[in-house]
Amino acid sequence: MNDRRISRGEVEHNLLNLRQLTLEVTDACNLRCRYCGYGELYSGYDERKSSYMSMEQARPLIDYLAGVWRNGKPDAAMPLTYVSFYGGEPLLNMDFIKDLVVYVESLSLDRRIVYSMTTNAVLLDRYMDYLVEKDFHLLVSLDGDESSQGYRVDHSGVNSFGKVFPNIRRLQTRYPEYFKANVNFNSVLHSLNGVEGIRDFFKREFGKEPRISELNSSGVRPDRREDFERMYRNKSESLHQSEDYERVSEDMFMEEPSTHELLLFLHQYSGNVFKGYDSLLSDTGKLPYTPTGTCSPFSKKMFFTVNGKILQCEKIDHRFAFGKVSEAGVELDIDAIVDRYNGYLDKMQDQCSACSRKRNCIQCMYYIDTIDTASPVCHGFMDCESFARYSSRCLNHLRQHPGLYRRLMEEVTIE
Amino acid sequence: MDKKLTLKTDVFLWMDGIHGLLYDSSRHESFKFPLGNAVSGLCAGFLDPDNLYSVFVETYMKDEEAVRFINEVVRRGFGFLHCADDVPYKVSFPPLLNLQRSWERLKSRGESAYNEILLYLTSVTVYTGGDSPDNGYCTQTVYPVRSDSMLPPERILDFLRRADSMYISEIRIVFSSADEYPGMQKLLAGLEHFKPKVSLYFRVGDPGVAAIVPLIPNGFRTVLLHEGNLHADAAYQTGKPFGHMFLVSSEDECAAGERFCGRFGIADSEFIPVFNGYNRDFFKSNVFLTEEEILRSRLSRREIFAHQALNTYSFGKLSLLPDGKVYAAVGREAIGDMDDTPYSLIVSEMDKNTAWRRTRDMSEGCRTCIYRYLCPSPSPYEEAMETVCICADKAKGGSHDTA
Repeated sequence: MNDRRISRGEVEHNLLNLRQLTLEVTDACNLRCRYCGYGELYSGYDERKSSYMSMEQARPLIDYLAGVWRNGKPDAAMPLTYVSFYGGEPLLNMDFIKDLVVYVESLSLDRRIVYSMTTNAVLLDRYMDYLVEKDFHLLVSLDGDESSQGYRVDHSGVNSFGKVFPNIRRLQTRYPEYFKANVNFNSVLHSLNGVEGIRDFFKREFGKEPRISELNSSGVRPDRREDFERMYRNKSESLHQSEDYERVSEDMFMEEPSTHELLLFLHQYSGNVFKGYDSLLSDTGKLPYTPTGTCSPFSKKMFFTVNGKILQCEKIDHRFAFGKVSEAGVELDIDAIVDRYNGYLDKMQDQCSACSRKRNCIQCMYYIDTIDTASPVCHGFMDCESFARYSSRCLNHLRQHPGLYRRLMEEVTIE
Repeated sequence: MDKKLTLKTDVFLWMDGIHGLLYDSSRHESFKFPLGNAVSGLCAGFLDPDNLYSVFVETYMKDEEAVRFINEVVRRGFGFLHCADDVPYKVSFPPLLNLQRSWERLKSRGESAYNEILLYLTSVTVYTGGDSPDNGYCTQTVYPVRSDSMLPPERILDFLRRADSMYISEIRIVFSSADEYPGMQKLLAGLEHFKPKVSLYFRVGDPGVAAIVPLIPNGFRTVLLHEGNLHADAAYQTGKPFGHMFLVSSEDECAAGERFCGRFGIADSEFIPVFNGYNRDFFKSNVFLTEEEILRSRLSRREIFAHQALNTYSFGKLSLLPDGKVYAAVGREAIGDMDDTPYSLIVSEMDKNTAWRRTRDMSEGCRTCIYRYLCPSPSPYEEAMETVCICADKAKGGSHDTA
């Protein structure tokens, strides 16, 4: 068997070098976005009870991580960890956020902590001074102009644009340097907007390029599938519908779906891309690989929910929780995590070993809806023929835009 | 229909103004060719990444030399001719190293401090100091350093405890005068924690070795350094499973070493050439590389990229000398001292680049040579011999114009 399984040491290493701790500070929200992952379209998350995280819940986890960080030798001279606040709408629980920041700052962690937040900006006017003072990195959810924002409504069904846009403008005016350096935007693509319109809007109003994401197709409730299909728009198709496709495509560079696909292809198959100096010294192609493209537990982040669950990511179903914080403290059984994770890999092994893309898989196993069944089916599976089609698609894009090769090789890094 | 010549993805192309070299890193084949005007034009087209290693050939078909070149490229399997509109499309990825976390990239993004660098450090060599021959061998290979002072065991162990990580696979302790080293037992006791990674080096000519070596606990790898006249009478040499390093400065010494190994049934042996100031001819005959030897290299794409980005001899290695300072290469400037953290030492070396990223591009004699990435990385020998490279042809006063 030449495929790898994770080990206890690997998970401990990931905790020691944790890049991001994301806290779901509340599941309450002052909006009722129609496509929300915690809304009516989806299942797979704990019931939303307008709960608010408290220091009593969070402090044990912070102490646990602080203990891990103090007792180990991280890979970086000054490790960088993002403490990210998520929701619901995190600005609804600012008291907790402020208390947590005070607590973290009181600990001597020997690492750089950067605070970040994903917010709908409805309450941004109340808290912007604090956010600027603590140098928060903000990801603001805004789908474009007023009509584009049509699915992001408040509890009364009123479009939130009228509240959100002035708040953002106020932040930009009051703190232009902070806005330039620390504020980014995420727009969800759907039936009320389009790629070209979104980009033009943000460029015009804020001089920014937003991240554009599609609606998540995993976890959609079967009885809401039609609504989902009505709302869903594919980024590539939307881009091709642009009036000035070439300009938009060029501007987007690697955010353009075909270019992004080509980027991944080149990284995986050109033989020219190496992560660090150490990877130049050993032939990793001969090493065993880990099936699927799933992140190793906590290699990217740790997600802590308002209900006390510990997961490896905020984008996955909450049934994949690895541990929890309770009155008994932090319950994180690393051996159990390893067993569970490896158990899923065992299930995927046969399919993965036959897949043409096994060494460069991007399929997260938690997105395989049937992963808990005896025979899960991976929809990302590629036989030789489909891999040939995929390669051909990437190479065709490269052939049509040969200048991308140099740009992608020289300008782009992927973390 | 317009025809194109496309080089294969695994093929490297290098030029020096007079010659060009194609090297196929998957088949390990090479083709050296003269660079006339037309061929230069073709090659310049290949080297433009926007062309994706593919050049239209129609304009070159009237030039005899270019036609010969094109035919040879195809015949030798370095590329292929095809119609520009052929389907499936033919595309190559010109070899262009994309090192995601190159030091320059990290520095330009202000991220070097946060980079995961501990994994770069893979080997630590400690020179305890004391009396030993002052022959300069220590700058060429593992060999005791002569000094008045010796590193106390507490300092050594303290450094190792702070520096050790899962990435360090080798800890070498090199003794100058074994019986004069104070605290030998304390040092060995402290090294128990690192035992699987530790190798202890003793010079066979050291008079104190006979008493010390038998006392070394089992489990430590012990390496005996032989040089000059071999000491066949030391019983301790054959008692335990030692490693043996023969430092040879002539072919006679090589032969003597081989006989020694045969006589005592030594399996774990290594022969290391050393420059003694007088044996340049020995090096020219046995260490330097001829053009033919260079062309017989069997380097993968990764290994060629490694030669472009770092020094494969020294990368990841630190040496602690009796002066208490830390070096990336013995004989170069210090990058810190033993009280520094491993992180700051690594950052210091990455910034100063005394050894870890010394490539042939930085060597005056090599930077325009078409073989510079096929040759091994610059070695300590070149500095010891005060030569710019280990090329036999250049050492003879010639060049690589033998094709």
